[in-house]
Amino acid sequence: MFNITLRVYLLQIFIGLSLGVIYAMMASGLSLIFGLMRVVNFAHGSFYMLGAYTLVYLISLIGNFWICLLAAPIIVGILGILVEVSGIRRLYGTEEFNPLLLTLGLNYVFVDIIRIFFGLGGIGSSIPKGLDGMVNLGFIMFPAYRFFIIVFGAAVLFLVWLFINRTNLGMIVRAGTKDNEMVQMLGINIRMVWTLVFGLGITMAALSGALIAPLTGVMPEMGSFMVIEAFVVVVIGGMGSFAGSILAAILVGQVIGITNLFYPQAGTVAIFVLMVVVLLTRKAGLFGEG
Amino acid sequence: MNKEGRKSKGRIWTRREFLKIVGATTGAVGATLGFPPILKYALGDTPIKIGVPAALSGTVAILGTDFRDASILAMEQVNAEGGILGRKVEIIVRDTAGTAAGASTRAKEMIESDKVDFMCGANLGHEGLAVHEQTYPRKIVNMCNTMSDPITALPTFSKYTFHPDIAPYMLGNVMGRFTAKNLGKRWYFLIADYAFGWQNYEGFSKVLKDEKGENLGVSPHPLGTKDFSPYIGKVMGSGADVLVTINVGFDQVNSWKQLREFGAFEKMKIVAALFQPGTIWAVGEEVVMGGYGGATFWWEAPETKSVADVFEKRFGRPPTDDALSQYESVLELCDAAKRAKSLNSDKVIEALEGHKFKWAKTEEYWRECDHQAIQDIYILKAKKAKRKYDTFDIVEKIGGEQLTRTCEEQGHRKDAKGKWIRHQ
Repeated sequence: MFNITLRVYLLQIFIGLSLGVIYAMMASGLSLIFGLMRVVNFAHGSFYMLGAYTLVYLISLIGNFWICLLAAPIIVGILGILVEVSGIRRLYGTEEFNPLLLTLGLNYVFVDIIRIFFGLGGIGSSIPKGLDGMVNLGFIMFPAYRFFIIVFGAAVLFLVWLFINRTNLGMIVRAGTKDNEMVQMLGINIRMVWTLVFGLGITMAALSGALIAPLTGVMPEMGSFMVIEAFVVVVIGGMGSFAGSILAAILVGQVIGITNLFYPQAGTVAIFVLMVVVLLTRKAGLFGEG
Repeated sequence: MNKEGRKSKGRIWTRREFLKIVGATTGAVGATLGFPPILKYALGDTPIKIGVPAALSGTVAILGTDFRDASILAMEQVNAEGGILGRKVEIIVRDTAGTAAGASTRAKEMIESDKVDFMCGANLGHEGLAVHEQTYPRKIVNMCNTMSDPITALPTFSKYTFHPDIAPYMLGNVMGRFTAKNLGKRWYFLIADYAFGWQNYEGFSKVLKDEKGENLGVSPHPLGTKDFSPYIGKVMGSGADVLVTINVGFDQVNSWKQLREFGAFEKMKIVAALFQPGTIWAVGEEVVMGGYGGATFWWEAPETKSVADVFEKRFGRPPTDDALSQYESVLELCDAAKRAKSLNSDKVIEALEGHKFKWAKTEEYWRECDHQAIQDIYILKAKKAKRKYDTFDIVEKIGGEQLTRTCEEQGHRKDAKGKWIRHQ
């Protein structure tokens, strides 16, 4: 064991932060969808993967990373809306496992479609020019693209928070999360809100996939483990809680980062241990109700 | 029925006549229906089946695709020369998804449903062991084409299993000595947390101890890790001269890409136990620029060039080490059956043991005690490609039994007659 310097600690904290932002975007979408519609969306990981593939494919056509980063999540978000309207919507009000099974099946369908069109292996992707170096944060040098992920991700999450907490539509979403039936009785078209929120959740999943693609390349199965981690974050934060999933995501990112610093063998299992500890002390998660 | 009635319907047959007619008819029908399969068999229409368990999906899908393509190329070449024992060869490929459970199930299917005569494949160590567990109890000769230490050592070893790929220990041994001699003796390890990673690590660690170097620590990561950043802080703070990465497929290119992103290449030398050209080409050669790595062949080496050219012409890309190893394994199986003039496992094993061969690499041979293919290992240095696929220079080529553990170290013993004792 070598002496870990303050710089290494700080580096690891920032790494944890960049991980946390990606988890937060994934998990908050998942949490919103569950909170409002009670749908456990097992296809969330495949939308994350579709976001990454769409970005890489668009870059091969258009070339401009920034336009593609904007377009990819929107395209996948529209696909998400189509899935909600044509499939999931028909299962509202039925047994809770019905939409779960549908999204689980869709996950396999999307992965196989990508395998057919893009092959079984993955595709490489590069960090855009201008963000491929390091930035000096004063106390550490940090990869510019990861720093961009932290700033950009935080901005997106802040905008979503503003939407939920400072707009009329957001108020309906919050009300719907607490009592769907009451909102409907007030004459609000809750189905439209469900569709919108589903699309928003999917757009966020796709955006996190698109953001991670230049770092990791893309693979058809890339969403499989990510969705498990996102579920862990949602459970820790409290099912249905937007703020809870963001806080839990940052916490999970830090736990992974710090565990890997001291005992890398436990890097993966640490978040599950954290989940167990949280559930044993607060069974509804950090911000969950019930 | 009265006599008149019988007359009206024709003559009356005796029992003997009836039996003759029935017998002749049955014989004729039997000949018509039964002979074609026999004729087909004689003419080679009943193929000799070789099962190929390959990871066609998952994190090492590129390697599985190489297995499939190389097997097809070998099959086409064998069949173009008339097949073996007058029969065509058929390759049956099944996707293991890179998991032990997948490999085990697919191998069982191929044995029980497809009735394969031989098995040849398995990309990852755990898959190789899973397939081995299915083949040896059924006495099926299996070319276990994954890097594995236990597959050739007791108690796992079986006389029905051969190991054409290099063993991780061999790779660690070669790359370790080169690294200690040329790059530095303070090492940190980033390894895939499964058999391949730990077996290679053992080889490297032993060399480091022999060379009186310093092992600064190891960070194991799960197979299929996408984001390596949580491991990089510790690597950067380790103060190592050399980072040894022991991982494959996308794990390798992703870890190298992200190490470069964090500036690790400016702080230390980076070595890969095994370079995997397939994934390196998929993401771009610049990923490995300035690094060193081991390989079982290099496609531009004179001994490989002609086969590599044929492969590239057929599939639009050069073969990787997995492809070459699989290509050689299928050819070796076919050639052994030809020499043995039989598909009988014991006769095929006899034809393989100690046999020297040279298909697409420098000469190799099957060590009799443990069925390890003794072969050369290449040390490659990544360079700026002048043209596509021209990614590496050969720095050194080391071969021979010196690289591997001795038969005795592998647990093998001879009986009083001087024959190797076979337990399974």
